[in-house]
Amino acid sequence: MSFADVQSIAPELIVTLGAFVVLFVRKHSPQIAVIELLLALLSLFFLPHGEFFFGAWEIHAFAIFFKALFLVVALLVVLGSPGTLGAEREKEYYALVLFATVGMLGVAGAKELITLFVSFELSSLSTYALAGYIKRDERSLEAATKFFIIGALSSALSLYGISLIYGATNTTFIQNLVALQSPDLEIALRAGLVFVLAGFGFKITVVPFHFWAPDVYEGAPAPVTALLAAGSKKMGFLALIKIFLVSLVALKLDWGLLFGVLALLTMTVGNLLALVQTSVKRMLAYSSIAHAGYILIAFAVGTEYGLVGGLFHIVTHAITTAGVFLIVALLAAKGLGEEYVSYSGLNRRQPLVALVLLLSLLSLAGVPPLPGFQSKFVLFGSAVDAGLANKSWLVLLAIAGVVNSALSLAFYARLIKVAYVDEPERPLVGANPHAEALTIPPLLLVALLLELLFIVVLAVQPSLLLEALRSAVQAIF
Amino acid sequence: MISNYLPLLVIAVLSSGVIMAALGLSHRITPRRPTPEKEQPYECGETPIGDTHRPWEVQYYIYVLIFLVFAIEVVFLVPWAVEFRALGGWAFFEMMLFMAILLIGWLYAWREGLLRWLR
Repeated sequence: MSFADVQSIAPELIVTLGAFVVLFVRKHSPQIAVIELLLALLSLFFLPHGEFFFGAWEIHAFAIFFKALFLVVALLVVLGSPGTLGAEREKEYYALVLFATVGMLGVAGAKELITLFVSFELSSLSTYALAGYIKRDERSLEAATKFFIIGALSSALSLYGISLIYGATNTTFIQNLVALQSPDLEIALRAGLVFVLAGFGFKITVVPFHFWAPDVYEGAPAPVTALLAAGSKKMGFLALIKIFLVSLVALKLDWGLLFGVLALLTMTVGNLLALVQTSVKRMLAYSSIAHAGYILIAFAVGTEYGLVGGLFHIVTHAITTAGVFLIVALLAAKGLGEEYVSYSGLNRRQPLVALVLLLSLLSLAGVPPLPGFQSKFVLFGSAVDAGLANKSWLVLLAIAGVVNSALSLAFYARLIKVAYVDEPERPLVGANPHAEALTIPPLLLVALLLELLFIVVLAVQPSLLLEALRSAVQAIF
Repeated sequence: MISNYLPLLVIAVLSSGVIMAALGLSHRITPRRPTPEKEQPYECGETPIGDTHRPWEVQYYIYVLIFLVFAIEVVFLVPWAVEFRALGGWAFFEMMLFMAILLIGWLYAWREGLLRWLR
């Protein structure tokens, strides 16, 4: 170990230290957490590039891109939590959010399966505790129990897969996974990869492994749900990209069709079930499953262009879905509820909240020129591109994606209609019906303004992000 | 290669078969004459008081958790101490860092009053 090694884990050290400070200082937990996360974001600019810790850790544009994404998501969650969480003790909450973030950052830097798994687990264990953070709320406890049991199962599956891979290749370094001990062990390697896919599949809610998500997303406190949908899930994708894109290309295995079928199933099931929900939180949970399906198209395509699209969609979905869940948290905390009817008259209650909700939902549906449209455009475009080149079924997958997006507009638009057109179910406070009835906590206001800034900037100037994505993808391809 | 594992499979089938046979046989041929006394849970010969399904004091488990901190520490300390000379200065620094991180967890538990019995 050398000084450069310590430097290479600077963001993780800063966030860990921040969590300790939060645990020991009894006041101002969210403020401390915000400062630490901003410091960690700043430290990303000064990270040395290359391999560290005997090749178990790597820093390049791709890792830095994901670290930045996780830090921004954590920042949004921390900003959105004060005043909406509704817990008696708060400092442990912020410490756990920071620990979960450290785990995600670790997955971004890991170049070795054990490091990756331990970081993954650090993040998962913190989120189990977060899901059950409201101890008085039985739904929250049920969500945490379910999440923990499913999480334990998925960890066991992926760990077993990793052990098979180690047995077949005698290494845990990802870039060496192709060095088979002997050719007849390829079956063990393939079985290992299947187990790893299933294990991480739970985390990213691919369709046969999606059933836990709606219950957990509904029961967990809404800011935690934002972290699950925007942070944890993207960490699963990151781990899959790290293991699969490298090993499958090197092994000359073509699992494109498998990923294509999974993508098709995931987005269709997610969107169809989202249509019939009456709870906004459940609708968003199914919509988040559907978006996992869109992102899986990148794995089916498997080209550099496709991966840029996948990463682009990961970013736009993470940021917009986090924003919507924070709004859900606000309405739930103010006693309005989590059903569709609770959102009636939202525009008259609080126009800014309604505007962020409108733009985020339209972006999730993929309405031009919002960020969600642009990322879907790149993603589906890459599928058509690869389809015209050799694999024609990819064109059908792109068409399925477009049809699904049109379908998803139905339930997003329903919520927008409720928020903008419907008469409020409950009377607005005060004599003046346009008076402010829904006060926004100051930090949440910052988060909502950040959301707005993100959506507007990307709608006007997407090339800013696309350049960063291209250099990130080139770092691993 | 895969066929090398055939003996493992045979052992797995045989051992689980023997256990199942033993359990099944004893279940089959044992005479059963239950009395209320026999049906009671065994508490070292004492007459049981109350239900066995009662909530346990959560403090036990907190103590076990805090004990685990030190147990894990020792697992890593011993190999480090054996190879101390070969590992050198950075390893010393890393181990101190590791212990400091674990100590922070213990200090946190202490500060929150978890070490006080029956709060």
